[in-house]
Amino acid sequence: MASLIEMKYGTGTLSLNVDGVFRVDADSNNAVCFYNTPSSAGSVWAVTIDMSENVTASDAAALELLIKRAQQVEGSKTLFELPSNSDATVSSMAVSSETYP
Amino acid sequence: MANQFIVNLSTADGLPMKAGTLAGWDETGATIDADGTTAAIDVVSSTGSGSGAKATVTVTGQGTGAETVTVTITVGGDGYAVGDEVSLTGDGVVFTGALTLTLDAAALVTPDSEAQALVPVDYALFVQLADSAAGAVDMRQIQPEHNRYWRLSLNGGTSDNAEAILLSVNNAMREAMQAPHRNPVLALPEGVTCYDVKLS
Repeated sequence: MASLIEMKYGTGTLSLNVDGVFRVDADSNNAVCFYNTPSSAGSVWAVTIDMSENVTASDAAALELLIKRAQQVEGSKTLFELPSNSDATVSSMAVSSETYP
Repeated sequence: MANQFIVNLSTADGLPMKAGTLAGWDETGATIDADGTTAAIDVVSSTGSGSGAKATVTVTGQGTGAETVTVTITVGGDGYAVGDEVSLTGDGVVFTGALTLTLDAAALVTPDSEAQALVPVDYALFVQLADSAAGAVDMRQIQPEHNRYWRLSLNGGTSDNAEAILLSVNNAMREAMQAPHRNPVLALPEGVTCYDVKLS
């Protein structure tokens, strides 16, 4: 069963499968989750999470910690709120190929 | 063991019109006035309940005896069915009066021929709206060297129910991921149907 992170969206939450995520960075006020899935030589797939509020470096660190914990619980479904602003909602998510960090 | 959810497919609420050039329009109720291309014109249903489609009309060779009138569907809308009569009202510059057409299957998007579709979630990451009008929802998935998505094409999606649609697909994906050995059925909001599922 997949490990999921839930993020506030409208009247509910949207899910992100975080199986295989090994690192989370803050980049341009977004959170970038790196997956252990190669996209090409030297690159991996990543998901950029655009939130309604800016994602700080400490927010990204908190998300990475939450993901590490979620990955250790089979079938987990964990709500993530930005520590810097718990009212933030997810605006969009996008897949991209990123150089291995 | 595979994890997946079931999508019931239906064309009962009609289909969008197919984007692109659409031939067969009856010009007897229209007067061709000048060469040029109209702005997007609403495709109005005289019969049936389709709405939201838009088209441009391009005229060349007006007055030469060899004029051509080309209708291009630019927005597919929702709810159109074979046999519906639709019309385009002239802009008063390129043409006046109205062009009319009785829709056949070729004028509409091609739906999936199955009654149900299975959507595997084994590699799924998240779901997203394909457009703000909720004409489709994409479920993204990654595999080594592959970044693909399952697209659920919808009839009845609007900007008003887009959030509810996205949450319903998310809930089906989540339930399928979290409950192995079951095949949850996607429950779309009232008035919304799925007519096609494809891996892109």
